Amino acid sequence: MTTNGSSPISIDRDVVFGQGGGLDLRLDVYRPPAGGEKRTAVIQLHGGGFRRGSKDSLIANCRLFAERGYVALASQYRLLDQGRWPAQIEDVKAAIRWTRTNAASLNVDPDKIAVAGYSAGGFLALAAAGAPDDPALEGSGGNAGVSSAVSACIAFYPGGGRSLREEGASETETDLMRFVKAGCPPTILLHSTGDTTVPFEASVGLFNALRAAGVAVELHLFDGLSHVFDRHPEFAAPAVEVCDLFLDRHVVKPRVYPPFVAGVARPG
Amino acid sequence: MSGNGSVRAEKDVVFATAGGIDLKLDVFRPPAGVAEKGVAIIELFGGGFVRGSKAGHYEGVFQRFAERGYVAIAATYRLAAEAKWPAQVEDAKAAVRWVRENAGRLGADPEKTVLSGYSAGGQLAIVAAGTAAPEERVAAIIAYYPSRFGRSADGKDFPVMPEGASDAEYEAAEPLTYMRPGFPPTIFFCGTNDIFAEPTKRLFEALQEAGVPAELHLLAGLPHIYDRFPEFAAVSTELCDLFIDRYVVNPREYPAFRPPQPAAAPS
Repeated sequence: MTTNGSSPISIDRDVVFGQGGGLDLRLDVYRPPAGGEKRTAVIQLHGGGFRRGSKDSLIANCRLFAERGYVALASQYRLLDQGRWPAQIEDVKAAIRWTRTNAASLNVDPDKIAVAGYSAGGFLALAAAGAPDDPALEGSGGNAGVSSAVSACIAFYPGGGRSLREEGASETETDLMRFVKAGCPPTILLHSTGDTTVPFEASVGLFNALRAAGVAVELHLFDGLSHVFDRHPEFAAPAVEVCDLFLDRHVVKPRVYPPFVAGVARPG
Repeated sequence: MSGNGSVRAEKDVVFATAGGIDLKLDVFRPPAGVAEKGVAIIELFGGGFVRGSKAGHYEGVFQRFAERGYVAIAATYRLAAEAKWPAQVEDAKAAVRWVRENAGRLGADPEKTVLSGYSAGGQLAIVAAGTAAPEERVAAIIAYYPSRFGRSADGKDFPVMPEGASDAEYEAAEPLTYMRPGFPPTIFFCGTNDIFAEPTKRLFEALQEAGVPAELHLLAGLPHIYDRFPEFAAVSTELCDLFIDRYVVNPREYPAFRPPQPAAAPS
């Protein structure tokens, strides 16, 4: 365990949460400062087109989530050279099951586990959210029989299906729309309009489909920035803040906001 | 006034007289010690053009902009009982002209004037910007859940419209009419439970198609005037600040994303 002098977040690195394709799968746990715990876990999934990347790219955002009271878990999953689809989603589900199994020691409510993914990780987050406890995708990475359902989904510029298809996955398997259905957990999508790696229209399409399915869904389209817009800290901060507000009202303390009634005295 | 912190407020400045009515605005200047951005943001309240006042949209919003270095200006415009459309547009433009003419004493650059509005005020901001003469031009728009209107199902005119208004007059009051090349960069906000959520999304999409910088924030499950709930107000102002800062205060571009090379990736 390490602590940062300026921030009382504690980090456990390289905790083995399961096995996939004969490999030990690891995650890093970022625990919030004492006193502000929201008892909600956010499993973070890195990008890299399923061909590269590592949980180390999640350090900055995991810190931001932990500072806001969440237990952030930066999870590994097998890349395409370590296993073809659905190895990636199997590993994500193993991470969810491990988190639920270890909820007490993580100081989170086992019914308050969210996923957050970036680019290819966003694809995985949406897949995990839309296909809970799906025998075809659960894999055998550990904690069999524990639910892999999540309470909310955060997807930053989700994409990457093409890499999966290049390695033999079918069009149907990699169509994110197949994971959109009534009953999906509340979902927040964040994208930038200057993204040429994954065009923002993909997130607009997901927003429209989730909304049509009656799912609570939120959309943030930042203008003019390219892929991975949150690598700029001035954008990561408000992006994580809107995620926090979203998780807080949908998962941490579920609540609804009353409609506006014209003519009634305004607060403040 | 109380609760004002160190933001310096100047109230009820007459910026124009129209139809025998003095039109007034309030100026909120950044506190001493805050880096001034040299940008004035004119704020237009909501209320369906039949109610509301410049004091009505949560004074906190003016404080927050001033605390971030902007000169926030809460301007009034005539309501339906005082004058019919397009008097409201004329009043909004008069406010823009006044701010541009008085930019020097406000500590602002006239070419960096921003127009912002809430609900009816958002619609007004868009129509005013879309029909601006050179001396009424603005550098960017902030549109919170901008309204739109038409005749009622049984053919009655919308309250602010003159009786028997033509289709062309309604079209001229429709924000979508102005989403075309040359429109100022615009940031949109709306709750998904707001009747203006889909229209707001259409405005954003039309601006993107026109090649105009446009940003969209649709917040899940929130009703009309979602920012009356304080927890959403602060981040909304922060997002406005980021947008205005990079398009108006210090225009800049962000570098394109380049995937890290495998050799350089950490082990």
